[in-house]
Amino acid sequence: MKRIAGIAALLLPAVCAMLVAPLFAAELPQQTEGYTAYDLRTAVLVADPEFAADSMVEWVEENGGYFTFRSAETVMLRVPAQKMHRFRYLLNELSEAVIDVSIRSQDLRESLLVLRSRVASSEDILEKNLALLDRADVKGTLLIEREIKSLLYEIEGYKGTLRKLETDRRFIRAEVSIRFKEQTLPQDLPTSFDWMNGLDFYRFVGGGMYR
Amino acid sequence: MRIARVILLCMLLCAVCACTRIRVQPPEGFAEWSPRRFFPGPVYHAVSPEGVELVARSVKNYPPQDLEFWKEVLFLHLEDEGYLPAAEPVLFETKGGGVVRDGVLFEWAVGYGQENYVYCTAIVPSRRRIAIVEAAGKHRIYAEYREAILSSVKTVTFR
Repeated sequence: MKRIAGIAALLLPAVCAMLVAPLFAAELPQQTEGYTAYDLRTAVLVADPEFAADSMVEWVEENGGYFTFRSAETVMLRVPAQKMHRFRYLLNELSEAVIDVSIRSQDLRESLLVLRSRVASSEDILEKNLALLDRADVKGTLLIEREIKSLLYEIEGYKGTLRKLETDRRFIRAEVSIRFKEQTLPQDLPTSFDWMNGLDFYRFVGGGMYR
Repeated sequence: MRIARVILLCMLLCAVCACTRIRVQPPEGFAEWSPRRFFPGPVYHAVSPEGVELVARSVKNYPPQDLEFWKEVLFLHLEDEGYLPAAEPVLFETKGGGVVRDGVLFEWAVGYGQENYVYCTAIVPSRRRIAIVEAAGKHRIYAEYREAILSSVKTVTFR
């Protein structure tokens, strides 16, 4: 009996971990530097939008990412893919409530393969053109030069797109809409205590009561 | 002559009744709205250059209750109305006229137009009266004056 209890005690944490892990995995998708680009859009309710925006920017910079836009209403960040979990925990910590989260993902493998092969083939053609350049006459040289220019332009374009995809692969695009905690306007509810009925923010800022 | 005296007496009585029954030091950087020395008006009013306002007045402590009671009532009432606490309540002491009184200050987050505001309500009950201090301003500007407002609230004394 004792032996069974001992085995159960040993197995219990492992079983619990096995049961709990998928729950976390479902909530926070595992993200490493794979071939998937993530686009995270979220809206959070905070008490202090400025503080929340500053904290997010500070955090992302400390963790190897960067921000592309920041205001008291919206923050756009590039978060390192491996830090996605921690970023979502940060959002939970900073906000009173996370109103909305949407994650879009895109597999980049096909685009990357296509672009890489295009770069490789364009570079091959470029090499061949360069080899032809020595043997060409004036007219041919001009034609080859034009071809080379167009190839270089093409290759740079492909490489640019490739770099963008590589960045998308390594950094999650996160757009956070920050909303002030106050969502509903305070109502004027009467109370039995007369003096308390006079406490009203809108009357106060309107100045009608005291001036 | 007698009629004139009666009229004068009535005017004086009216003026005394209308006087602020509390004294407040203005927050640092604030201008006093009505700094009349002898007939200051029923409320005390100070304003910062950016428009953060502070208004203080007093009301009868009726039904007579202590800070614990009014603190609870005020918080529940404003929360019921839909105000959301922007910070923890601040308990403080005022020491005017050699009497130490306890008070409480609440700060509420309120959206107004496209801006976020903080609405501050503080009370200092005495045996007969309750001093009420209200202040409000845009969140960012209010934050700059928060300490000054708190210091000012601590100077509330009953006349």
